[in-house]
Amino acid sequence: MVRLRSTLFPYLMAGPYIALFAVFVAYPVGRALYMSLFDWGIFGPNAFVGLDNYTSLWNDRRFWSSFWITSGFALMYVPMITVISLVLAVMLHRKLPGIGIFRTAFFLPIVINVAVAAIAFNWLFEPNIGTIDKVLAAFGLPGQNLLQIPGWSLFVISLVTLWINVGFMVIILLAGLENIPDELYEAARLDGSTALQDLLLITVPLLRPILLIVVVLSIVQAFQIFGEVLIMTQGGPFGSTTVLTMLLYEEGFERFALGRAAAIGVVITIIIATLSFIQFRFFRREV
Amino acid sequence: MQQRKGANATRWIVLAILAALWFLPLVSLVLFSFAPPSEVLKGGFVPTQWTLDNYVKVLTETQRGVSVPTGIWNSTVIMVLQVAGILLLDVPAAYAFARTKFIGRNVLFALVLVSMMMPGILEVISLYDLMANIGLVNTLWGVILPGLPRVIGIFILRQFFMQVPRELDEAARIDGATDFQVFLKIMVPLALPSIITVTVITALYSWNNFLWPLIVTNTPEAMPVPVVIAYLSADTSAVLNYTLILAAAFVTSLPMILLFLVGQRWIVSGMRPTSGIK
Repeated sequence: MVRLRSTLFPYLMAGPYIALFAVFVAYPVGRALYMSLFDWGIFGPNAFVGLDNYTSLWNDRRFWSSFWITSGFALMYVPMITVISLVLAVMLHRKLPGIGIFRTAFFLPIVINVAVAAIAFNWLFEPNIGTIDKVLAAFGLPGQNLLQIPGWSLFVISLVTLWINVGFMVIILLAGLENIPDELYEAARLDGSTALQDLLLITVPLLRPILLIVVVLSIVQAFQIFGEVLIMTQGGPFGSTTVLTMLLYEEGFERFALGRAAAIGVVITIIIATLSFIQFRFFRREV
Repeated sequence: MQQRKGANATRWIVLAILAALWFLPLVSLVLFSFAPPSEVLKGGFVPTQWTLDNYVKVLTETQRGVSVPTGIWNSTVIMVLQVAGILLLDVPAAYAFARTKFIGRNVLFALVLVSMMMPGILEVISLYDLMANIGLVNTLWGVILPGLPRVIGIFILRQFFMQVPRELDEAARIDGATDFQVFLKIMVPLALPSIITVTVITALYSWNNFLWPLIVTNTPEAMPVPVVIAYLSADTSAVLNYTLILAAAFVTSLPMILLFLVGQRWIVSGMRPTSGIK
C-alpha cells in the first residue's frame, strides 16, 4: 500500500499541471498546425487544402511586405536594446550615489502594461502638443506627427518596445556581471586600460553567453511585437507598420480566414525557432 | 584614484540623463492626467491648471461604453484566481519534476521548456476556437484558464527544489514521514522565498497580459484593465478626451507601481537567469 502510494505520488503532484498544459498549450499549438492545412472560416473548416495557405502566403505581396517590416523592426530593435542594456548594466553594476533611483527608472517600465506604455508614447509624440514635438520645435523643427510618417512610425514603436523591455535585459546582464571577478578589472587598470577597453576586452567577451540570451530574447520579442502596433498605429500609416502579428490579427479576427492566420502563426514560429537555433549553433560553441 | 573619481562623475551624469529620459513618458502622463482638457491643446511639459475631474469621471462614468472600475474589478479577480491557481499547480508539479522520478518526466519537462519559445500568437487562434466551443468567450474564466499552465513558475520552483540537499528528506523519511508530508511540512516552507517570487511575477503578468484578453473579451463586462485602456485609446482623435485616457492609464497602473515599490527585490530575482528567463 505504501509502495503504491509512493509510485503514484509524482503523478498526483505533476498531473494537474500537465493536464492543463496539454489542454491550453500543447493542444492549441497542435491544432494551429492542423488548422493551417484547411480553408477554415468562422464556422469551422470548409475544405482541406494541404499547403495552399502557405503557398498563397509565399505569393502574397502583403505577406512579404509584413515580413520585411518585421525584419526591419528587428534590425532596429535588437542592436539598440542589446547595446543600451549592456551600457546601462555596466553603469548600474557598481555603487554610486542615487543608484537606487537610477535602477528604478529602468526597472519601473517592467510593471507597466503595453497599452499604457503605448498611450504614454502617443502622448509624448502628439503633434504640436506633445513634449517631443515641443522639443523639436525648440530646435526650430516644424510640428510633425512622427507616428504618421512611414519609416519613422516603426522607429517610434521600437522606442516604446525598448522602453518597456530594457529593464528586464539589464537585470539579466547585471546577474552576469556579478560573476566577473573584480580582480580582472583591477589588473587591467594597473596596465593602464581605459573604460572602453575594459568594456570591449573584458566585459563583452566574458558576458557572451548572457549577451547571446539577450540577443535571442530580443529577436523573439521583435518578431512577436503586437500590442504597441495595434494601439499606436493599427499597422499604418499606409501599412508601413503592419508587422506579421498584425497581419495575422487582421486575417484571423477581422477577415476570419482562420486557416490562413494559423499558417502565419506557424511561419512566425518557424522564423523565431530558426533564428534562435542559428544564434545558439554559431555563437555558443565559441564561448 | 583621481581618474576613477572623474569616471564616476561622468557615469553619474550619463545615468541621470538616461534615467530622466526613462521617467519622462510616465511623468508626462501623470502630470497631464491632472490637467483640465483645455490644457491638452497648449501641451508642453507641465500643465498650468490642475484638476481631479479626470479621475472622478474615469472612476464614476462609463467612457465609450467601457468602464474603468469594471476593468479594475475584472483584473483583480483574474489576478487573484490566476495567482492562486498557478501556485497550487506549480509548487507540486515543480517538486515532482525536480525530486521524483516518473515515466515521461524528462520528455514532459523538455516540452514545457520548448513551449516557452512558442510565440503566444500561434496559440490564440485555435485557443479562441476552443474557448468558443466550451462557451468561455467573454467570461473571466476564459481569460484565467489559458494562463494557468505558464512555465515560468515551474522553472523557478524546480530550480529551487533541485538544490535542496537530499539528506533533508531522507532524515524525515527515517522518522516515518510520507512523501506528501515531506513535501508539505519540509519543502514548501523552505521554498517560501521562491514562492513569493512566483507570486509577484504572476501578479504582474496577470494584471498586464494583453494579447489573449484582447482576443477573448469583446464585451465591456468581461474586459480586464489593459483591454479597457486599449479601447479608450482608440479615441485619441478626440484630443479633448486625452486627459481622461491618461488618468485611466495611470489609475490602472497604480496597483502594479505599488507592487513594484514593495516587491522590486522579488521581481528582479524572478527575472534573473539563475531563476529562469522570461
